[in-house]
Amino acid sequence: MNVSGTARLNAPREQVFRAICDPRVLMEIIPGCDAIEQVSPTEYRGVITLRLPGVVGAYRTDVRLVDAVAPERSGMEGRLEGSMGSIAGRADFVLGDAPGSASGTVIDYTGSGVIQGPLARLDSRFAERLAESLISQGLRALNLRLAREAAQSPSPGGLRPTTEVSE
Amino acid sequence: MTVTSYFLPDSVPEALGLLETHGSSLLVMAGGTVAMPLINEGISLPGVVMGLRRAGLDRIERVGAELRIGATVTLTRLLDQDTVPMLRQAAGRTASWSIRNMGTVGGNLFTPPPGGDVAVALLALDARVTLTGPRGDRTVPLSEFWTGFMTSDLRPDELLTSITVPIEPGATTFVKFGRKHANTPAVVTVAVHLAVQGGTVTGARIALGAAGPHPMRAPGAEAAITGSALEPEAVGEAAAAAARECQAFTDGVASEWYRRRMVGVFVLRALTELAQPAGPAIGGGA
Amino acid sequence: MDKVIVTFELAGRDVDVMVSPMTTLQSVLRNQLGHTAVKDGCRQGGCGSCTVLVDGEPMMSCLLPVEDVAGRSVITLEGITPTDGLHPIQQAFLDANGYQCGYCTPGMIVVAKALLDHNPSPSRDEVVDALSGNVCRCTGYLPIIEAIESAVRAAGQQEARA
Repeated sequence: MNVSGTARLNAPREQVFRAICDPRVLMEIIPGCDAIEQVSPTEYRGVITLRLPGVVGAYRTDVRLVDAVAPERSGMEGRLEGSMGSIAGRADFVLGDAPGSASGTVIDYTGSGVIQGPLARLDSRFAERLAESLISQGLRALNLRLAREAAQSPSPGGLRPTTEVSE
Repeated sequence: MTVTSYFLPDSVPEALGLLETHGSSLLVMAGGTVAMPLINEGISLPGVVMGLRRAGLDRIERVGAELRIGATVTLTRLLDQDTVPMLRQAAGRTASWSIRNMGTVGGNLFTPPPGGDVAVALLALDARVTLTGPRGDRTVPLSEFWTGFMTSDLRPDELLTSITVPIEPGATTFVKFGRKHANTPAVVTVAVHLAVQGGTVTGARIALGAAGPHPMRAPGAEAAITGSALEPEAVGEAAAAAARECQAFTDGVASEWYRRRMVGVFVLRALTELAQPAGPAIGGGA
Repeated sequence: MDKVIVTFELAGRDVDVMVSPMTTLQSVLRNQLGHTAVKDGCRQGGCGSCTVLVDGEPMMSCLLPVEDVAGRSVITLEGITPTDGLHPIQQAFLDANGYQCGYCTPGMIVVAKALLDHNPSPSRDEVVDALSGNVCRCTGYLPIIEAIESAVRAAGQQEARA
């Protein structure tokens, strides 16, 4: 399964970079993810509850930061496991400044995963569209989260928050 | 089978209570035509399940200028009413007799892509859905109900309890194109409702199914046909607009390329049918 | 896990079964009640070989938790077959060679019976539409359609004589 896409976030690149290098943040923005706990500074685990028509299932999730080049790119490895099967994969993020904006970031993501178990019986294109949908929801949640962070506290180093809430 | 409890509540309050008790681990099922295949295949492995067949959501009644359809009204029962002819057409093109006896109107709104076909007709008919939760009912236009791929505005503590269809005069038509003549998922579905006055289209709702992550309207096509007398040029423009603006996708049924072309073909056919010299077929408002 | 007891009417008589929750009607009919004319083809509601009548309406027993038919009447091909001889629809299938391997046949006959109960003289289009949920790999469908049409004619002649 391969997914990729681009999104625009209304926050400066440094702030976005901090967020996407933090496995805890990523787990918190995944729709339906709970019981998040730290395994190490770069690894977190949690439980994702999937709720779709006809399908209910809980997946243990592990997300680990494996690569980071500030403030440009990061890579995560992750694994989901549940009674319906497992997905093991990797996601890479590349950040760029949004053109025509002082405080926007463009994020390009690519991800690949191997599905095993009963889940593998689903059409792979369907699984990809589902994954892309979850990722879009996650990025929208990230956008909101970054806006809330910027509104709540002044950035260190004297940077003035210029984030706009876009949702 | 992983199921430890299967509940068949007798009322909506009882169903909402079960939803509150079990939360997101409760699989909610109406006719079972989506959930049971997944459970039988081992793709869905729920522990607790709730069936809505006995929850009192199966009334269909005309109230003034509206048809109120309970969420668990079966598709077969849409065939028995002629208050809204397009719903009969849509139900008749959905699945098979046995599945229509089990599948529900409410469930059709949650059918995974390529999606439910009655849902497309309901969108063209400007239906509203009633969502019931612990704090009571709220109503959402169907055009705003779906929020993305397999996502909707239904909150985790709510149930969809009814669908309301305005009964308005208008010219309607419904066409579903599939790889087989019957009992087949859609390559594309087109549902049209036109308001026509003195031979001129004064309002148009064109809904497309299997041409996006959920049933969607085609606003460009609607604009192209509004104000026209359904002349071939206007119809052609509307069809081309629909093909451009739809969000066709590839799956096991058809490719994005083919779906996009078929959107154009079937919007053209649907609007051409409504432009017949005998006059558009008037339905509804009877 | 607690089992549940479900009571329903099968071929005119009440039966009680003890099942794990959400055991399908298909599984109960085949494995507990010996009604093996109900076939197990796809478990997806796509092939129709599991079709039974619930309160006279055709349904896919593979998609029905048995709890959902509590208090209702269920009829399989075993319930359509009289104690002596054959039901007229069965006879019509026999006479018209409306089967080859026989796997789809119970489902076809169950649907045909429901069709003729609802509509004693269906058009060919109506017969074809009624059968659209039942798949056959052997006959090419025409012998099945003709069997049903001959059953319609036979019933009409019976009516005329009565």
